[in-house]
Amino acid sequence: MKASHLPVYNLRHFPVRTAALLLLVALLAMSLFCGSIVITSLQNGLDSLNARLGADIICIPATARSKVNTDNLLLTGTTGYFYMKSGYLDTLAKIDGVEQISAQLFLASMRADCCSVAIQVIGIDQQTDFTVQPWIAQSYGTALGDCELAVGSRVTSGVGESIRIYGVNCPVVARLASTGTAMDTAVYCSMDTLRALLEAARDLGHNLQIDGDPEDVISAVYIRVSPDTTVEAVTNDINLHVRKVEAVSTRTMLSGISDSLDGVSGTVSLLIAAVWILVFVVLILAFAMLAHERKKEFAVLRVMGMSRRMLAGTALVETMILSAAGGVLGAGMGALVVFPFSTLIETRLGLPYLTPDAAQIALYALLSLAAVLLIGPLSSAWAVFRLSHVDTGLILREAD
Amino acid sequence: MKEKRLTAAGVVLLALGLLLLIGAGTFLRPCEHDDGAVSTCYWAGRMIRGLGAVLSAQALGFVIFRRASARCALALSMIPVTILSILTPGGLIRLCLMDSMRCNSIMKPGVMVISFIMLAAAAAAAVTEGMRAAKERRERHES
Repeated sequence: MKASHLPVYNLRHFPVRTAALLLLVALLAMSLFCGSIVITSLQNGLDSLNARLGADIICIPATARSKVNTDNLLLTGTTGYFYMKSGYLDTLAKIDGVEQISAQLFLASMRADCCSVAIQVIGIDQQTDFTVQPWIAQSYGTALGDCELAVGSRVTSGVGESIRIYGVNCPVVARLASTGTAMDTAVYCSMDTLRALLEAARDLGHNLQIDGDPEDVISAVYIRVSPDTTVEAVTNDINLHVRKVEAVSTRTMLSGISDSLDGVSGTVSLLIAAVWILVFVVLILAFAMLAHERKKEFAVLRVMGMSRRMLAGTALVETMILSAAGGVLGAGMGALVVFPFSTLIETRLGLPYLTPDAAQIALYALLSLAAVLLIGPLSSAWAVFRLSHVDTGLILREAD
Repeated sequence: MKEKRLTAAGVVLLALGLLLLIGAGTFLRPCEHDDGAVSTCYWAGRMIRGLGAVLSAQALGFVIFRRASARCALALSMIPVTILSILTPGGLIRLCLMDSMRCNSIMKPGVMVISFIMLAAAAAAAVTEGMRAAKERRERHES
């Protein structure tokens, strides 16, 4: 047997010890990998929300306040339906500082029609829309036709399939890129399609609480403010002068989300640090105990002619093998938790969550591996030093 | 040499099979509706319970039988069943429309993770038991 094979033999002949140390190192790598992915996903979600935010102000009927949480509108979406007269669009367009304006019409589908969950259907005015249209254009080149739907990434229907809404079969023509926000859970169609769906809902006897003609209603108005004025000024102007309409600044919502995200990121970072300190201490103790147990083994090896350097090398290579294997195992275990359950994590956190791309994931896996490859040998350094400096005579005499 | 009955592979396979069987009715159950409505994910859940029962029976056979060739055959037979289990939620049987629903966010990933680990364990067990069976055959041939 070659001396270079000694670390592998040592690890193989003590499977329980090896498994226990492997598990500790894997826990270290897993916590770092999962934590990094969660924090990056939250940051990506906020960036995506920021990038996707085409409007500076969202105007909804004042009566909708009881139906939606305006502070959280971007995250929870506008599940439900509320309507105001389309004449408000003209009124709002006349407000000073309004650069672009577009209306949207909402409808929540019946549960039974869509596999037991109500989905939010959003009708967009394709002539004026500046919030959803650029997003749809990434996956669908032309305008949405009659009854055609573009679905958010969280709706599981694929292109070519149909979604039945209030008895109307609507083909899915595009699947939109993930944004990590409530926009992913909605389906989008043209204003004409939505008005047809409103009629279908009314024909089926659903009370949509529409005051007047369905052809003459809208649900929300999205406004982009011109650069020569401030969002706050226009928001205040609308809230003061347009009755029965509530204007909400999207930046206010974003800052609230950003604060929550900072809180969650801080907690996750703290937890990672706690796990690392705990596992580092446990590893130092484990290696110290092992060094005590293995004194005789190393004394015999010393008598057989191995130098101190070779002994230290053997112990270090053992730790390196354990760290590498534990790092790969930990990253793998982390991947099995953090990717398949990403929807659950997002739902529970209640924050925008967008999983990073493959390159970023690979980078975090490599960083986790590098970190445990550093921390493993570091935690065993004292034990290695003690083992390579055993007093051979004393240890062997004690054994007698 | 008489083989050990309770091997690590046997324990892992049996535990995962039971986890799938019990999980599909408890912590990995599909969506439930107040009005008693049944969605397609309900049938996916039933299918997973059935597959969990088959996998548990196969894993039990793996624990009971001591001959390496029998264990190898059982481990090999578990591979297509675990693949079927991975493909069932969302693939062979459709789940609910929204990704955030229980069947999509808990049942599907849970079943896939358990099945994936089981697939790896069954493949590893098939290789090790296959090697052991070949060794046994060689020893018999030589003697």
